[in-house]
Amino acid sequence: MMVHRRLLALAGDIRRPLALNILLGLAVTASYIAQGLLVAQILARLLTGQGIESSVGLLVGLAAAVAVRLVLLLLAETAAQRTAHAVKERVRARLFAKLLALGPGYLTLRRSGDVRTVLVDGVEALEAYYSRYLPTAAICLLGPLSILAYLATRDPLSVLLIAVFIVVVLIGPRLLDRLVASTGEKHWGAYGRLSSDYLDVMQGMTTLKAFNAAGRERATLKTRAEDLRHATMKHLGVSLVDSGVTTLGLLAGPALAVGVGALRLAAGSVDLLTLLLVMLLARECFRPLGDLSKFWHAGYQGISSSKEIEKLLEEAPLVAESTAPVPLPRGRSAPRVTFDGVTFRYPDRKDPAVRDFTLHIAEGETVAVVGPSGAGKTTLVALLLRYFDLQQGAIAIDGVDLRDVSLDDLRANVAVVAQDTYLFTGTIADNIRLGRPDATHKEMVAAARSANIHDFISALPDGYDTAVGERGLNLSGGQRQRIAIARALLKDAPILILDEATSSVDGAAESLIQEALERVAAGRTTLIVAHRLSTVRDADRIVLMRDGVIREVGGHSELMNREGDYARLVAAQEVTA
Amino acid sequence: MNDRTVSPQTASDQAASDQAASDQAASDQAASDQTASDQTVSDQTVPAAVDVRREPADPGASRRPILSLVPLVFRHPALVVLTILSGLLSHGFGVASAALGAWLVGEAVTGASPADALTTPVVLLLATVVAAALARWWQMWVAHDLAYRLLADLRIRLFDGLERRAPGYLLGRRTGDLAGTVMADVETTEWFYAHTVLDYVVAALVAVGATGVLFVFHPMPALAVAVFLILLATVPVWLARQADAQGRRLREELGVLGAEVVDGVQGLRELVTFGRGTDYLHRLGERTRALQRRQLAYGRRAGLEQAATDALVAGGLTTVLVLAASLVAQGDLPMAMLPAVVVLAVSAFGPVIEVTGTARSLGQIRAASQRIFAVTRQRAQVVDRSAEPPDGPLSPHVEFDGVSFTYTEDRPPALSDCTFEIRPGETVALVGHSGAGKSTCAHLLMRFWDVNGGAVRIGGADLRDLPQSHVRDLVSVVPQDVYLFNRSVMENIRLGRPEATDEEVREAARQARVDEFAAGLPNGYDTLCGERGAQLSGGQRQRIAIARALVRDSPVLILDEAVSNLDAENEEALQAAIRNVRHGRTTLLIAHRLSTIRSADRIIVLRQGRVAEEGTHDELAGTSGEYRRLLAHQTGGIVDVGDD
Repeated sequence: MMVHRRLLALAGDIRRPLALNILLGLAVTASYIAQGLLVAQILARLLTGQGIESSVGLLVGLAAAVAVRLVLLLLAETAAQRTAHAVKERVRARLFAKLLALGPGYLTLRRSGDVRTVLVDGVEALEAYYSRYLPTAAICLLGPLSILAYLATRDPLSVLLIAVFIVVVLIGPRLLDRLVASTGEKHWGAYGRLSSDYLDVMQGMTTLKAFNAAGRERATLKTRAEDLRHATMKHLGVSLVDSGVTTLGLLAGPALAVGVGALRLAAGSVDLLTLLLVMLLARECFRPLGDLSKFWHAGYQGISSSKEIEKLLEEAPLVAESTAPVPLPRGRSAPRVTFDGVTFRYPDRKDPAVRDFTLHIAEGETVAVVGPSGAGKTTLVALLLRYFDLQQGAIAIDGVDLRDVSLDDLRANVAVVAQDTYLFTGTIADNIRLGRPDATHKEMVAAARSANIHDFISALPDGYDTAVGERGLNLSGGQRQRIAIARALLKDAPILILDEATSSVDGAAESLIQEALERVAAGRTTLIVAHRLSTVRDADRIVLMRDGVIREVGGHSELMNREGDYARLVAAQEVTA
Repeated sequence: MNDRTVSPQTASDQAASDQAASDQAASDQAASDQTASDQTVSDQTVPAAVDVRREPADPGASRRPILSLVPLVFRHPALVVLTILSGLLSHGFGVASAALGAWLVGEAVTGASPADALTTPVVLLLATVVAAALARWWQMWVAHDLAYRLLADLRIRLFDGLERRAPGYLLGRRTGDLAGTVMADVETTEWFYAHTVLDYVVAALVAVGATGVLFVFHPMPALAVAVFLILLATVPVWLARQADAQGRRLREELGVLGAEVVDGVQGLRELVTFGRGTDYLHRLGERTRALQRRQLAYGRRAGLEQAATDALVAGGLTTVLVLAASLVAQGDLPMAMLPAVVVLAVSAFGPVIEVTGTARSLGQIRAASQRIFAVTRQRAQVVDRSAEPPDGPLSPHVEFDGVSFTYTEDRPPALSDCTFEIRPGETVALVGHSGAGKSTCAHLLMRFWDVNGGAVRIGGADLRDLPQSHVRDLVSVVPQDVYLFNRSVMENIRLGRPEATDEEVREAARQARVDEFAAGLPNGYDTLCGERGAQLSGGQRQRIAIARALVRDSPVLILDEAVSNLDAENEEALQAAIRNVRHGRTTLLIAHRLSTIRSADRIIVLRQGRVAEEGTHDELAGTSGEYRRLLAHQTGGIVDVGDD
């Protein structure tokens, strides 16, 4: 039986809602038993020639049993939902807390779609296990046992026959599970791959159409789908045996008990009431077993999704919070940021992304890091925000090693304007306030004004209350960026990072952003990461990186005069007159 | 089924689909231009102009989408018959075994037969049970065979629907983005085909059959059972409206929770750097609880239905019991038949209860089938007038002759009386603000749509007189956003010409400067391009797209330049690749960079769908026209539009 200790541990303490579920389920079973007993009595009276009038009391009892069950079924459904909800709420909160602890660095290592699936569908898939499968499993143990115990007092032989088939129903299909599990996984894996190939091809449909390849791909997919269907059906022939075995057990148990009982009654070795009780109660024994078989597949989904959930919960944190954090000095407008001999390699890569990188950024200085993609620029940002820890060297703010600072303190001191700013579902005001939730409206408007976005927002019908994000107004890259700048301004952190802040923006939008950025950078220690060189020439210093190491450092004109890599890159980008 | 672009629909559902298509044409085609104007032949990035809010308001592809799923079943009549037959056998043997057991009890009690005479029925009983189990296995097997065949059919129909529609819009989403949703929808219908639709038929037949057998014993209990069966079958109908509304709210709330989680995952960086994690956890908790309230309401109603079902079965049992008893008392029914009649009545309910349970998942299936039919019932954007390719080779001379084109009637024309030509081997750069009609020109030259007025010609032949496949053999495209399939680099390049040899592919790759980075990939040219080609940079993807076009060696080329996101190194290689692919080809260049524009032989400036100016860079830069204005707004070598 599938009672996974780890799955139970995942849910935390759900003994009470679960116990209530089981109690209600048992009460429902009890009402079925009462119904069986009463019907058996009535039939016995009728068959011994007593008229229906003699059974009026029993019939009233029968109606009462049905009425009670009606109420119990309603309560049981609600209780099942409550158990499920308790579990889902708890698991989802734990998962997200874990994700927050792992930090954004984790998402660069995993596909965010997978994480999303675990958090929504994975958690929903747990429901059936806790609210249906577990209670039914408990009822399967207790319900039939008590029926059998009662019947055993009247007729041990029938009980033996029934018990054999209960075992068949419980164990039979599960024995086959082992048998088909390995081939099954392979088949479903292939099935999943075909689905994702379909998806791949359909997403690229325009390309296929343009290259006259749609007909060809269609034919290939169709053949593959047909082949796979054949293989799947062969496999199903075996794996569906469990529904056959379950049906066999559910029908054969009561049938055999009744058949043999009838023979014995005819031979005079059992009495009529016993036979009727066997006939009616045997069905009640198998009722929860039928339910269990029905819920088994749903419960199994929970088990497979729990594996994904546990995997996420057991991920080792990428950075460890310091046990005795040193507070960063307060009140200084622009601290000093130093990278000393920093070497860092991503967990799944061979080569370091940044090698022996040393850079001292003075108080209030603006330093730009440029270089081709893959040079390690963005890695520097991730390291400064401590999404990952270094393998060698140290990064310090005002001389304090980042590893000695609490993560909250560190991140409170740094504001980031990134290339792909994420806007949350909510209003524009909510999104700007993300920088500082307790900011007044005036402060927020001031930030928006400095970010050159106030005029745009004011022109919207709902102004700052306009909904944005997934389900709201779609903003252009430039508008999003300026909201991100307003956010950063409102946060008013002494260190500013501009991570490719203008690269997804074109033309006229850029000058508005550039202007806003200059305002933000004033009075702050600023690190700019860019590959469009025209955006960084006003920086105090420019660092040219390639393959994780520094190639050139200096001011724009200094580097131009050197006629090295930087000058060559500038020439390549600026072919304009 | 037809292999080409023509709809594979049968004549009978064509009528229905036309109705559905016209219902929906208004709304989804409205989405299609805003669309087409700022995006050429690409499958990815959603342009900012696309309003995703349009989606929930999608038009009813069909008013009764679930009923529309049913006719598909009859594409496999033999399997349908076998599924029903096996279902009948499985349930029939089940009912028979219960009735036989009860009959045995009756016989034994009344002593109507001697004990020896009962041995044969007991053996028969066991045989019935085994037969029921075998039939059950067979039923599941046939039902799944049918379901998987239908799923395969549906996938191909979706493929065809998307193919007819690409690169336009459907349900307010780009065809590429929609693919994920509808593929999941297909999986949802498995439940309908394998476990629902024919089970209803079987349940009805078994119920009628059992009632019929009862009728043979005596009409009265049969009548009582019939009444309760009808009541039972209508249980899901009683609260259907409420169930629908609750189901819809539940899905909406689940969607909201999904969006909230997306917020948390995609915006994790912002949450962490702004220290807002705890606030978000609260919000997530609230959302989860809101969903739970919906689920609870849904569950209460489902519980009520279950309780009602249960009560009806118990009521049926009691009624038949009392009826049968009084019939026995009056001597209208032999005493020995009493248990059999009661058990037969109860077993008649079994299959019906089973299917009323499945009705609960219909809401989900309804939503899924609605989207599926919205796609499969798409009409082709372009229909071939002739299947014959032209007799001789066409000269690569492209003419736009007074072309007018409007994506939908309610939108302003994308092109009006637009006339220009590209002479063989010449490169013409189209420039202009987004929405000026640049991408529309590319779409029309690919014959993704047909013109409303004027003509587009290649070598003097009107594109409408050429089969689409022929047009696309003549024209190759390098899009702005390159779609790479999750296959090897080699296969992605070979896409354009499957019969190309490895050497030809490598040569194209060399020309496109793909070889420079391919060697550094983990498995060289055999490296998979990853999910949506995520592991390659924008410039590398474009170079693969150029190789793809090179390997086809078609005489006309459409080159849609990427706006941004290239670093200087990549840019050098990309420019070299572009020079190579343009060489000797008639090229329509949709250009954004001043450097690229200047490299063209001629420049055509589009403004609101018309040709505003035409000439070389030097000629145009000297005037004070549109081109000068565009140049004045350029920053960092990008001549385009502000997106504000």
